[in-house]
Amino acid sequence: MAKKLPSKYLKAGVAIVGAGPAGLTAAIALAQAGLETALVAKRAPEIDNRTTALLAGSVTALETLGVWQHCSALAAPLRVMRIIDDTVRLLRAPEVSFTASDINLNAFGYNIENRHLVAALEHRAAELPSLARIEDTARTVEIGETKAGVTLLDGTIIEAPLVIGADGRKSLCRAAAGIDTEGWRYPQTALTLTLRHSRPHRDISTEFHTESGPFTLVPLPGLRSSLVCVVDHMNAERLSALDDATLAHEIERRAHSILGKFVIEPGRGIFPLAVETAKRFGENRVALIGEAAHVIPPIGAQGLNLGLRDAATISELAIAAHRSGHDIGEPDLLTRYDTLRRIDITSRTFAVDLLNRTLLSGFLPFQGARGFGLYLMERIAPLRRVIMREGVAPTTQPRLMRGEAL
Amino acid sequence: MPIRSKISDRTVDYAEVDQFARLGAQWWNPSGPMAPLHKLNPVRVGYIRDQAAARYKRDVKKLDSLAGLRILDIGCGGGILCEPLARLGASMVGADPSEANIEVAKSHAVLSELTIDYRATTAETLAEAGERFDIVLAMEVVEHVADVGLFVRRCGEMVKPGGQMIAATINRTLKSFALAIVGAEYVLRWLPRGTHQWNKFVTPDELEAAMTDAGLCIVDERGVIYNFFADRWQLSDDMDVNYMLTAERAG
Repeated sequence: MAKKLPSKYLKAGVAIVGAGPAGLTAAIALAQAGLETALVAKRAPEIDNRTTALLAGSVTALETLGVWQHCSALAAPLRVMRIIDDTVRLLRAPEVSFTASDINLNAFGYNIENRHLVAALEHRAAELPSLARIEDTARTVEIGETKAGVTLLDGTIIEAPLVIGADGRKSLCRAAAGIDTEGWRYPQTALTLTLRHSRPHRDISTEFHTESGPFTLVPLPGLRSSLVCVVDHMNAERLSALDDATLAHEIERRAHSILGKFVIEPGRGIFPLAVETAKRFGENRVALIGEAAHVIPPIGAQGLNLGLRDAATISELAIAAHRSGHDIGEPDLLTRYDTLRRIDITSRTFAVDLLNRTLLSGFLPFQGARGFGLYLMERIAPLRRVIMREGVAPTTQPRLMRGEAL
Repeated sequence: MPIRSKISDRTVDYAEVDQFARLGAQWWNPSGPMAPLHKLNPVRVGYIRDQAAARYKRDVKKLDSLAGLRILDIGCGGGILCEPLARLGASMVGADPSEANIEVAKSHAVLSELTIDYRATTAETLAEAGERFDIVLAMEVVEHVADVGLFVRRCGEMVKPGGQMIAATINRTLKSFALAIVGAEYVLRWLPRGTHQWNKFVTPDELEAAMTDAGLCIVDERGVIYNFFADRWQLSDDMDVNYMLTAERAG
C-alpha cells in the first residue's frame, strides 16, 4: 500500500451516483436501514418544471421512508383518469374513464412537481446520520474485483462494494460497468409545461389521443395542471417557438377548452421521444436505476414510478444481503436484481410503445384494435379494474411499495 | 506433502485434505468447482446468524448482529463462510489443515478488507492450546474427518460455557447417495468426483450422540433442501440429505 492517498478518501457501504428522485430514494432506503451510504451529485437546478404522477405504490414507499409528509401538501390527487379519442379516423374509441374508487383507492396517485419531490427527498436525506450527501460531480468510476471507486471532480475517491448508477440517460456508471443499451427513437417530441387555468380540473387527468401522440393534462394543486403534449418534431419546433399567449391559445384549442383559459408558467421542456434500455441492469459492481437503466416516453406515468421500484428493489436486495454478511456487490445479487426488474421494465416499455404506435399508425386494424381494447375496458368493469390495478401497482412489488420497512 | 509430516493428529484424513487443496484459487470462483458451496452459503449464514441471535439476544436487522462474538470455523477452506460472518461483526478464527487453503483465505480477506485470524491447524491443536469460543462451527466438515466422535469432542471442548456448536453435514441415506454422490458429482457435475465418500456420511443420530458425549445439548436441528425452481437452498424439515444441528454447552 505504498500508493499515495489523495486529499480525501472515503469508504462507504454503498455509493450512489445521481441525486434525482430514484437516487435519493435508494439512498434514503439504504441509509435508513443502517448502511453507510454516500450519495454523490450536485443539487438539481430549480428550473426543472417537470412533474411526476406518483402512483399508489410509489406514494406508499415514500410514506414508509418518511418523505411523503414533507411534500404531500404540494401534490394533487388523481381520482379519475379519462381517455378521449381525439383522432379524426374512421374507427374511434369511446371515451373511457377510470375511477380510483372502483378499485377501492382514494386516488390512483398524486401529481407533484419534481422540484418539490426532490426537495422533500433531500430534506429526509439530511435527517439520516448514515447518509453522506456529497455535492460534487463524479468524474470517473472504476471497477475492481472486490469494490468500485468513484472519483469526484475535487479528487475525492469514494470506495464501496456496490455502486448504484442513478446518473441518468448518459450514465457514467453504466459506461464504467461496460453495459450497452438498446432502443429506438420515435418521430415525436414531448413538449412539457405547467399551466394555470380558469376552470377546475376536479382531480381528473385527461388524455387526448391524437394522431401525433397523446396530449395529457394532469392536475396540480389549485387551478394548475401539467401538460405533456406529444407531437411530431416539426410541430414541436413550431410550438416551442410560439410566445406564451399564442401557445396558450393553441393548447386551449387542443384541450377543447375543458379547463377554460390557459396561462403558461415560465419554463418549457422539450424531450425527443425514445426508448433506451440497458442490456443488463446490474453487472460489475454496478446496479443501474432510473433512467440509467431505462428511458421510456412520458406516456402513462410509468418512467419515474419504475425508477422508484428500481430503487426499492436494489435497496431490499442489498440490505438483505448485508444482514447475511454478504458482499452486496457480488455478481449473484446483481443477477437477481436484473431478473427482478426485467419483466416490470420491459412490459411497461412495451405497453407504452404499443399505445404510442397504435396512435401513430394509420393502419386500420391497429386503430380498430386500440379502439376495441378501449371499448372492452369501457364496457367490462372487471377488466378495467385489472388494468387499473396493474397500472397502479404491479402484482409483485418490492417491500417498500407494500409499506414494509426494510 | 509437507503438511503430512508437520502435523500429527488423529482427526484429519489427508486424502481428503489433498482433494480440497487441489481446488486452490478456485475456492472463490462462484461459478467454479465450489459453486454449490457458494449457493449453499446464504442459508448457512442465515442459520448461524439466527441461532446466534436467539442465544445472544441480538437483533438480526442490525447490520453488525454478531458484533463481539468469537467464532471458530473448523475446516474453513478458502474462507467462504468466515468472510460473511466477519462482515456481521464476529471476531473470526478460521482453521483448516491445508496450508494452501489458508493462503487462499488470507489473500482473499486482504482483498475484502476483512480482519480474520486464519490458521493452518486442526481442531485438536486449537483445543490443546486452550482456545475458547462463543460459537464453534463445523460446517460441511464432519463428513470429511477421520473420527467423528473424537472430532466433535475436541470441538466441544472449545465451546465456552453457554456457548454453541453448530454443525452442518450430509446424512447417510439412500437418498443422499442418489443426490449427493450420483446427482451432484456424476450427473449434474456440481462437485468434482470424489468430493464425498458416502460411507463417511454421518446420520443425525450419530452426530447427536457425538455431541451429547462431548457434553453438549442439542437445541435445534434442521434439514436443508435444494429448491430446483428457485435455484436456491432453503431450510426444511427434511433431514434425509443435508442437515444442520445446533448444540449448547450449559452455562
